[in-house]
Amino acid sequence: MKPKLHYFSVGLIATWLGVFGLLSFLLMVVISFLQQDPDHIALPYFTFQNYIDLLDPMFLKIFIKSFYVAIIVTGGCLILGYPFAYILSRLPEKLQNISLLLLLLPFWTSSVVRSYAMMSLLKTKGLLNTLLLSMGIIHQPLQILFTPTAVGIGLIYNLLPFMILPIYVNLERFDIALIEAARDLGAKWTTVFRKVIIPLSMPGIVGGATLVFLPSMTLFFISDLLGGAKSLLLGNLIENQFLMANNWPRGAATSVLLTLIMGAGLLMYWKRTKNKEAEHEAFL
Amino acid sequence: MKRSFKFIYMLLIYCFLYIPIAALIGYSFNNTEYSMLWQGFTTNWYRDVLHDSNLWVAVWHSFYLAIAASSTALLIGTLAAVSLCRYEFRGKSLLRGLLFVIILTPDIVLGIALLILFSLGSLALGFWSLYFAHVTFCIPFVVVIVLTRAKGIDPNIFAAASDLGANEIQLFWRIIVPMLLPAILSSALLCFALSFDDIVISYFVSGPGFEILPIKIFSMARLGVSPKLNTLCSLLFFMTFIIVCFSHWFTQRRKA
Amino acid sequence: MSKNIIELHGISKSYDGQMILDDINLTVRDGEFLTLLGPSGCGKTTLLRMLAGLEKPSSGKILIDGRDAAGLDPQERHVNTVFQSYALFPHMTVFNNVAFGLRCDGVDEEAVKTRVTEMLRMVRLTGYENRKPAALSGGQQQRVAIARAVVKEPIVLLLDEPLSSLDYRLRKNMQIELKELQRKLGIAFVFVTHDQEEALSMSDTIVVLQQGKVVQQGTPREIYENPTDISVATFIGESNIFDLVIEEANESELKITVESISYTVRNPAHFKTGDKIHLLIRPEDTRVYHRSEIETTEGLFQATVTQVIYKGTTVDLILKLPDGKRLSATEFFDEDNGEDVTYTIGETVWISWPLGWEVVLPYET
Repeated sequence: MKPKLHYFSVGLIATWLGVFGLLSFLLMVVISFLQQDPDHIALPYFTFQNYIDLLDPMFLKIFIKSFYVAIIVTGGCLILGYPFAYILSRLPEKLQNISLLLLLLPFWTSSVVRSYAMMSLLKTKGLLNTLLLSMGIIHQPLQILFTPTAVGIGLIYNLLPFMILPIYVNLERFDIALIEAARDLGAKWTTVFRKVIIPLSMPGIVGGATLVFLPSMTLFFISDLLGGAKSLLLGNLIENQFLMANNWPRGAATSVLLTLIMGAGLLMYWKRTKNKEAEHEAFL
Repeated sequence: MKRSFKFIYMLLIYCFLYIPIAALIGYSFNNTEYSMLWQGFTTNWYRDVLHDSNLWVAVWHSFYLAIAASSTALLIGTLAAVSLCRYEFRGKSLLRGLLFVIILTPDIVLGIALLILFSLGSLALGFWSLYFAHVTFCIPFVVVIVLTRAKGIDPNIFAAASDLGANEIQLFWRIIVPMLLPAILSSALLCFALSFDDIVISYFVSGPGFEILPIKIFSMARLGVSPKLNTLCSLLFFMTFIIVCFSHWFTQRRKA
Repeated sequence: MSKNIIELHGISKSYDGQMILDDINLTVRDGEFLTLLGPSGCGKTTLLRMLAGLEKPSSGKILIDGRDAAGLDPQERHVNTVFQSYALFPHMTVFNNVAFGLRCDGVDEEAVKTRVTEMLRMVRLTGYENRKPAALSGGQQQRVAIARAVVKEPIVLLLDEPLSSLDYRLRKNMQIELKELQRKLGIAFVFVTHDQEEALSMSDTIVVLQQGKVVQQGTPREIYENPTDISVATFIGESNIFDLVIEEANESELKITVESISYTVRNPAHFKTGDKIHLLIRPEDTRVYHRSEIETTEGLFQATVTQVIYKGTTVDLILKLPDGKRLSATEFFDEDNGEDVTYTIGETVWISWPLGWEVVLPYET
């Protein structure tokens, strides 16, 4: 057989991903070990300094804050998203389709646009404050915009479907007979939930958490728009190193660190789902 | 759980998702620049937006970038998916792994990795840097969608085609592409949306000479809320809703 | 004597160190209906795909029409295939499915139209040209698949279990249709099946494959009446098997004892005294008598009826011998000799077989 087309296709994608995927990642790793210089991208001297710099209390504080935000956001998405995914998975099929469409519809627009919408809702003279004031619930406008709370709300607003979808897919697949069997065996509703439904939907929860946790450390523009001047997220740190401080090696080192966190998360996920190969297969 | 509870819960989530958008659209018709209180209906802001040629340049840039990037990604991704489905070759698992990693890598990491690559390669930030970046992050999505579909096809169909005398090119255009068309179309739509909406990666690899819409909106939004931006965003929502609902209706009709 | 259209010389195939086909030698003559028969996993489909050019042999040589096929892609061979799953192109109409192969060869549209129309008429699908495969019944899809392959005028048509997904009645009809089609076309068919009945009723030659090896090749009659080993015998048709030791043997005769009764049967293959053998008696060769039907029980052994299965044209009996061994027997309704074929369960009957109709095979564990 002479599948010339096949050589062409494999060559094409291998070249493309080799240059723009693999090579660019490698260059990033290389840069992260080079000496910083304000006038150049980097100086060709090997150093660990960029990684040591990250242990500086100022950066550590941002790490911890960013982690904290990511945990809160992931938790928030889970609490809001799980019941939604559960209810969604039990709807009749027609209703399910429409509900899914409604859920995803806003997400076809740019997240900048959505974050801007949230910004105008939360601002001091925004709709939320106007409403609460006119209903007499509060007497002074709440300062939400430009606080970490606003960033959290913005992140949840942007990331909620990434939590709902994996859980929904997981719950939708599993057999309702299992619940009935547990109920039949005399389990209380709460017990069924705790002992049957939650453990069975664990892969979905872990998947959703992975998809929410990482972006909530990196979506710098949400923090820029809703959090004001305060750099809250790891993403802001990277952004600043590249575009303000002009310290590319340190920015690269931060990105490498972020990639390592992602790698660790994935490894955990794979260990959980045990059957690595099947999972990989299902993904591709 | 009670039915009414379920209903209310879903309603609340939908409110959370839609109230900011609805409010924005409301403001875009509000006849005042500063107050959030209703000052009467106006379409003046829409007239403003429609006459802002700067904005339309950014829209036009985003549009043709998205068209260029998604068609390239579609071509490369479809060919790759077909090869991954049909052939065994060395480095196959490496290729799959790379695709997998690119999907999962935070956008910001891909963005700065590409920025470093372009700077070292002395590629001026502008259309081409954006184009290369967008094609790169779109390819894995095309591969995943098309490959899933391709794996569902009976391999004997390909065998039958070559048995009947089709060469590789005929097989590709007359059998594989038509059979994968639904998957190709939906990944085209996804790529277009991803490219048109992307902010994180574009933020790093765009230059002042080639302004695209999400970056323009971001820099406007950084200056604060303005009626013009409200209107622009509302227009984008309208456009998206129309396109998504239309394509949903279209796919539902195809199924029926 | 027609010429050999396909010759296989020492074909072997292994996957990941596992032998799928082992030293296959085979010839297909022009115009013959050859069946590759074997249980699933015996390598018959792999062999067929090799003829089509969809798989490559690990070693050995394939000659198609006298040409070495090693370097030939599927599209370069004058061989076409009907796949088990039909593999019709779902996005094309019936007409376009059938026309596909001709169009790939660059046949002009005028000729395509004539040939496809003629072909569809031949498989009785005129009027279905514009349907999509999904809108056809299983039998119709089957006929499209055949038309699509035959329209290319191959020198050999390969069929991979083409009838296995049809229901019983349809399968019977298609067997006849296929046979007729083959006669009309005059080309060789290589047919793969695991259904021995199908193989026996359709083929000119049957090749029995087991675990990647050809165990026997011959006409249906040879295969059925003179299986060369116990695995063929048990795979094709039912058999009553007695494991025995030869008491005395010469060049032409064997002395054996079946159920305490001595018999002298023909020595088919140089068996010697003391050899262990299998003695096979087909159920339809097993004669069952009521005591009243015979004058003497000499040379007959006794059995008890344990089941009676009425099949319309035959009655199948399950019998139990005194030592607990089970036998099956098929009795035909034959109005001429007035034989009594009503049996009751628990009844004692007398058993024999026409001497010489038995098959003697070397013992295998």
